[in-house]
Amino acid sequence: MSRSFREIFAMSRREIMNDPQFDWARHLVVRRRLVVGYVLLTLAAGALFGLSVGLKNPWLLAGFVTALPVFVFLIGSINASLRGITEIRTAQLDEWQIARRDAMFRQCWWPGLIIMAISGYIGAMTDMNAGLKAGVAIAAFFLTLYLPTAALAWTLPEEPEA
Amino acid sequence: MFNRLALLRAERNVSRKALAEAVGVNFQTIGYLERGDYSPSLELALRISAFFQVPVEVLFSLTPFEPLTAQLTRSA
Repeated sequence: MSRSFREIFAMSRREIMNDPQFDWARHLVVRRRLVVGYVLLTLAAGALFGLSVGLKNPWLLAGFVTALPVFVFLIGSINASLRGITEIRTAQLDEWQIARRDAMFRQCWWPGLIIMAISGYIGAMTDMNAGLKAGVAIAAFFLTLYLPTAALAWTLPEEPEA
Repeated sequence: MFNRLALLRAERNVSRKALAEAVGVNFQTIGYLERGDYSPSLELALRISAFFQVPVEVLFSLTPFEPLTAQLTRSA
């Protein structure tokens, strides 16, 4: 089922996130592959950015820029695979979705803080190249930012049939 | 919490999606309720029992329900 851009823009976020065209992403195995892809791409993007600045290599920066559209695809797919639990407004979620979302944000509080603390330690306490420090900070920021959504995509059981 | 949601749904021939739309939740929530992965709020439990027009204790219980076959055998 394909839709025109006009049709997509006319849909609410809740409708888009529940659209059957994203059913392919809703299986547990696919969700986990998307999460692995996101983590690997985040680490690779951080490394590419850090090395491009550190080595002053424009090709590495081009690699970083090329990775950005893939980020958009992965983030959109993971959000749709969860039917937008962490993205759409609370008023549009039901009580099970709110409970799962809130529980995951609580559980990811400390892991997120630890990732940012490690990144801060590397930035402040090591004599690494400034570009690499920036790369580590970028990777840590995006991992922390998306940690609750990624953890939900990894842990939610297979959806029951309608 | 234990429930007889799947039993009543099968008896009344109601899909998860139809029940979910009637009580204002997503169909996955009905599925997770049936699996016992989630305990509903009082409001949702009352809405579901109102949909099936049965008292809430017929649908939900803190102790396991007696199997239907055991009930039928006893009443026969």
